[in-house]
Amino acid sequence: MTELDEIALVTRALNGDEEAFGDLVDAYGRVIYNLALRMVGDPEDARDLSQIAFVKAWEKLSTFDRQHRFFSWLYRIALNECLNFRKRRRVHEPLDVAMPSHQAGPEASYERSEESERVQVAMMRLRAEDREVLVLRHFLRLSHREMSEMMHVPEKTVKSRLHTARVRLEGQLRAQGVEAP
Amino acid sequence: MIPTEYERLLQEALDGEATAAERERLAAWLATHPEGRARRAELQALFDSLGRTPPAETPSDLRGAVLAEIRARRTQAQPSPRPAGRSPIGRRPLFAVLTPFAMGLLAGVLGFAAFSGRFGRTPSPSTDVSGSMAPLEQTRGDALTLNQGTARLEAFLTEGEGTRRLGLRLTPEASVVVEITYDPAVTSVVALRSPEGADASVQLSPGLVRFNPGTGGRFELELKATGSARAPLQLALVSPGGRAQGTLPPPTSPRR
Repeated sequence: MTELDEIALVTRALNGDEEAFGDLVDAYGRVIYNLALRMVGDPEDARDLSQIAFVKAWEKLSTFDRQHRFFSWLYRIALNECLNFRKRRRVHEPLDVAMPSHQAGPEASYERSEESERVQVAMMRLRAEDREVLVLRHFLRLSHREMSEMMHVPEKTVKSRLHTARVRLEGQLRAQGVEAP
Repeated sequence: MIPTEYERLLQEALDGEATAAERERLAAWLATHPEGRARRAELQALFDSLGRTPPAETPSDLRGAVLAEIRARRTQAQPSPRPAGRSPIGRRPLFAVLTPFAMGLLAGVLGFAAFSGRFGRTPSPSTDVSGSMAPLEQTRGDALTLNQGTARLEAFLTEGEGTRRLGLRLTPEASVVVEITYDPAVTSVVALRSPEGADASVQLSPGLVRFNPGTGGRFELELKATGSARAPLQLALVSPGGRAQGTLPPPTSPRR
């Protein structure tokens, strides 16, 4: 979605056009859901949190500063929901992980699924701030500059956090008995 | 042991974010440092592993669920016109079965508890609300019940001599939060009183009181009218599973 498309939809939504807001859900639902899934680990919780984030965005739409990208604002709402959810639940154990299936053959698919699960379990054992940067970089595929904008921190900080998070992730994978992934 | 400088450079190169000069410097270092090449292989494996974890598909009903929730809240926030002669209580499920006597009893219980100091515990030190209460001529208003999951909030508003008291009875579930929205132009918060033992954490911002009722019980919010206009209060019961909300209009029937 282009920035202009986004602005047009947000404007319509601000005028009470629910379907325009629905188009924003269609446009960003996948990213927000994946963010939630990687942050909380459970598909059902991720679905609920995505829904809550979008509804909150709708309710607070009048406070959205149009000098910024809608997605950055929405992302921050969703991330806060995920962080609050984790705090409330005080979950320390990895939750059920349901990774999407792959198009490869059954054996390769199984191995990849195992690998995905190991990575997700290791991710869930990281601190939220480590998980956040890994999700943004490796799952949402954002550049350092985009991450910097999203997180409201300098690019230098993004690089530093990524470096730390990857080292910690490696540590978690080793703790699972996985040599270099 | 890889020097931190080169560890970071390796990661930036694998991220595709290293400049040409940085890549050249890294290549020169790697050419003479086998441990650096081994580390690069480890990091590459980690990146590959993360990259092989594909994005999940969006739940197919996300758009529908979001729009349904938005519409439900709109409906709840804009109650339909009240049929003439019908009790305002009648459209609220819990109170639909209560007789006027029961309503009076509820008002009495809330009023007695409030005025006898049963809600006398001051808020937690993290809040800046405080104050004392004195009996006053009061006007009784509507009652409101909100249900969210297994949590329930019953609210009752009384008003008199520039002071409004919102009695709240809560049956909470884990992590439920109560939000009370008021018009800061005509109303200010004097005190929030919570029952003994309720570990309520309170957040205040202009126009909004937000608190976690802990183990629940009876609470009372004391508000002061700072203008002649009388505005309704918006109440919401929020849990991770959703949000129930409603409006308490200013009392209209003087009780003398």
